[in-house]
Amino acid sequence: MKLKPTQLLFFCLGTLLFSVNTQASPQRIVSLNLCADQLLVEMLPPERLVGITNLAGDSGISFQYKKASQYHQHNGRVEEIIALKPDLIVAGAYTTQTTNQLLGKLGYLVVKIGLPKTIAEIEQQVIMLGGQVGASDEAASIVKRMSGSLALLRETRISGSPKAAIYYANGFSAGKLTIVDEVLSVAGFSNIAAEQGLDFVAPLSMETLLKAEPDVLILGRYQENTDSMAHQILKHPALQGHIQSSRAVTVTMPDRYWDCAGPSIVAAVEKLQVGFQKSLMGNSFHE
Amino acid sequence: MNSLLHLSDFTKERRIVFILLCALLILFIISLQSGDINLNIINVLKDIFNANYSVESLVLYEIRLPRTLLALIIGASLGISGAALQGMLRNPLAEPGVIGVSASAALGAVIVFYFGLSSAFPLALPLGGIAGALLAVILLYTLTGKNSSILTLILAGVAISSLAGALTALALNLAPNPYASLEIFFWLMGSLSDRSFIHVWLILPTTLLGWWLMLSVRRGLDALSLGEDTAQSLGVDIALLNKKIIIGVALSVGAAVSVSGGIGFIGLIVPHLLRRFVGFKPGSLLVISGLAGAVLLLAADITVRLLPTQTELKIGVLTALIGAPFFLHLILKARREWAS
Repeated sequence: MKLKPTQLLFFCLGTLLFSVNTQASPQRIVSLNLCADQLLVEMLPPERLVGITNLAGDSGISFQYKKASQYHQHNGRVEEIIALKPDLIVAGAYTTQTTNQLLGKLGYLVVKIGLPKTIAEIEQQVIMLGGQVGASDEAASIVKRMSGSLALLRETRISGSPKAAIYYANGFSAGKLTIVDEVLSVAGFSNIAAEQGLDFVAPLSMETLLKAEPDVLILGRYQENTDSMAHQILKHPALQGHIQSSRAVTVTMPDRYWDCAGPSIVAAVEKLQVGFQKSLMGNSFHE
Repeated sequence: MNSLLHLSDFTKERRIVFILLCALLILFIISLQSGDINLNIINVLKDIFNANYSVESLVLYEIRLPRTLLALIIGASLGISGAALQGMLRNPLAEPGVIGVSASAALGAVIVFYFGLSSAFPLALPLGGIAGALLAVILLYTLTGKNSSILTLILAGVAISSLAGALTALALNLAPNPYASLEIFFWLMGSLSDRSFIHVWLILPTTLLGWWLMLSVRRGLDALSLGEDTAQSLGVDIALLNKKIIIGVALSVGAAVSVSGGIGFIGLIVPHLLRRFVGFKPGSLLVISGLAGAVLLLAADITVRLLPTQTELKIGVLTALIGAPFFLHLILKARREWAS
């Protein structure tokens, strides 16, 4: 993990503050955010993490859906959360805003987590959150495991930086300033959307996508229920035509791997590399 | 176009058809040229003839051509249906969108599409739209009867539209796909973005049947404009005429809405602008309304593609921006006529 000197300074200050605070570390923590759920179930036992969102049990969007079944899941209503008698609430900076404000007004301690866009920011967030919930050791070991696995995956980088694009429902793609961009570059791909000047998650027209002649198309949620206009685009004849005529490979990537920027991106990198190699072999079998 | 007014009806009609066909041809070429990437059409056509599947040929053949054809077909359906409904109800404000036919067709299509019927049996999609549209036209016809006042028609239309809209929202909220509830806007406003030849083939048969039914009663509609008794004495079977128009509108608008969502106001604007060029004969109005509907929708679709918005503007937003002031103008005109 590389940190700039200023970041390091904040870190030290942060840990200093926490060491003062954690004399009475919170014992009943409730999470209001899917991404916080997934970080916290790796740090805390069910006795201390007394509530996570019911989204955490959805295998489509939650990487920790199995582990989530050991924890109490709530529906996000304020009364339900108060009944859990939390002494610390972890929420997303951009989700359930009204609930967060109301709980803050009622005197609960609400900690908000942001949206990391790089691996360094993920590691920073894990350490910060670990400090705040009184699980610094667990947080440190998560970060250590992550760095170790990522170092191994960097050695199996795909060579020749093939051009990749992620295509979600509604024709959205992920450009610069997204964790998806970081995952693609770690795995060894060049991201078409980023090269087209796309920032964040934004629509990429099918014409622009085809013009860039992708070598690999990563389709989100392709094999699940596709009965919506949003999903029809992934089945468009032009897209399928390109896949067939140019031997572009497709990799299906369930959202749970990278919809939250967290430790699960290690699995995302691995799945991309393995999926790409497998598809290539599949293509050569056809020849 | 004022010079046209001095000519005889027949010549005028021929000239207006010619002008519209020219406009259609020009827009067709512009439409194939408009998009996110630049194409050299001649080179691309060479690629297609040489069976060389370049990216450009894929974009032209699988993205832009079906989109252009859909704009033509759906625009024509809306234009003809608007003219036919206005002739049948003898009411200048009748239009598939205003009177709730589009909203009901959307409801039918939504139920079939989001609950998996259309992935098992593709033709279910247009059939769902047609069933919805048919229900709405029959309901409207029984509610208002013939020769009803403008007010009754509009009120009945508002009732049907809002009921169908609410039920559509309900169906989308109950649908299993997580994106469904976000797509109400598509069904209310309409869009031709990223449609493909699959959709063209799906709607073509029923649409053509619908056009044929409506165009087959052109003469009857002309006679009907002289009043029901006169029409009957001229040998027009009015019950049959009404049935043909109701089924024709349901077939063509129902199919159109099932792949494009409800696109409003085309069927209202077009017949009104053109009526004076055909000597106010509702029968002759049908053909040129179809042509002009195609021209208008294609022009609107090219415009939304060229506007620099991040996500493409829904095409119905544009037609409503043009159509709603027009609608208000018509209401004001009608009010003045009642007052005098």
